[in-house]
Amino acid sequence: MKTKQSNNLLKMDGLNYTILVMGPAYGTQSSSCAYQFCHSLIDNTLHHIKSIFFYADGTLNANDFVNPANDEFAIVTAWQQFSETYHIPLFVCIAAAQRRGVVNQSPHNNVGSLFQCVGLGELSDSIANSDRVIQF
Amino acid sequence: MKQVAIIFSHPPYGTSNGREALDLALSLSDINTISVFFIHYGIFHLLTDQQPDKILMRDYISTLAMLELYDVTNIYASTDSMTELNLTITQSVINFQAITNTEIANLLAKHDVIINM
Repeated sequence: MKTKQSNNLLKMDGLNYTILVMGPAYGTQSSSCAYQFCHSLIDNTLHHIKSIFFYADGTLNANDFVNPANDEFAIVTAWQQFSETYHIPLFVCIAAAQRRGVVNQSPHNNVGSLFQCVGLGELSDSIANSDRVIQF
Repeated sequence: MKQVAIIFSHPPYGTSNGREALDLALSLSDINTISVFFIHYGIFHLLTDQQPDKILMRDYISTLAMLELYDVTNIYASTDSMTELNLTITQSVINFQAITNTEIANLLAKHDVIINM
């Protein structure tokens, strides 16, 4: 009975997801995997992404100075294009970011323009109001 | 409001995982119910008399006591991990319940969200 109800729920309007990214922009598969998962969720299902939250080493995804070679995938740019196309907010934990040299203070600002520097309260709120939380 | 489990599986030295897991536990406790689990090397967090300043690390072990002030009282540690590491924890900066990995698995199944640090 319960399964049937949740199946109906899926068919009607999908679930709200919060995506938690904790791997860096380069060096591990984690953030690429998160990016592909997000795309798959939007392209292939009726689910929604409430927000994408970058914490711990994940905050390095907001570093605009990350500059891969021309023939490599530019994840920092890709996250922002994804956010712009589908109107999904990109939140970055400001404390975790600052410790890693990702700062949004003038005149030294290397946070990608579509990333929003916020506190962990934003993640708390997003988790409380989502149906699923997926950690990468 | 969700039941959130936060798992400490790394030691308090070597990486910043533990410190950032603690920040997460305290911050998420505002509108969610938090449980904290210490497994594998994470149980090293429970030892007293640590001297992190000697390896240029901030002493966040003492900040673990803040969990209680934030009403995070569901704190569990794996007895299987203690056996594996041959650790006997007689006193700690926080009160915790020592339970087996099977009991931990059963408890985790009751949570809405699991964050593994």
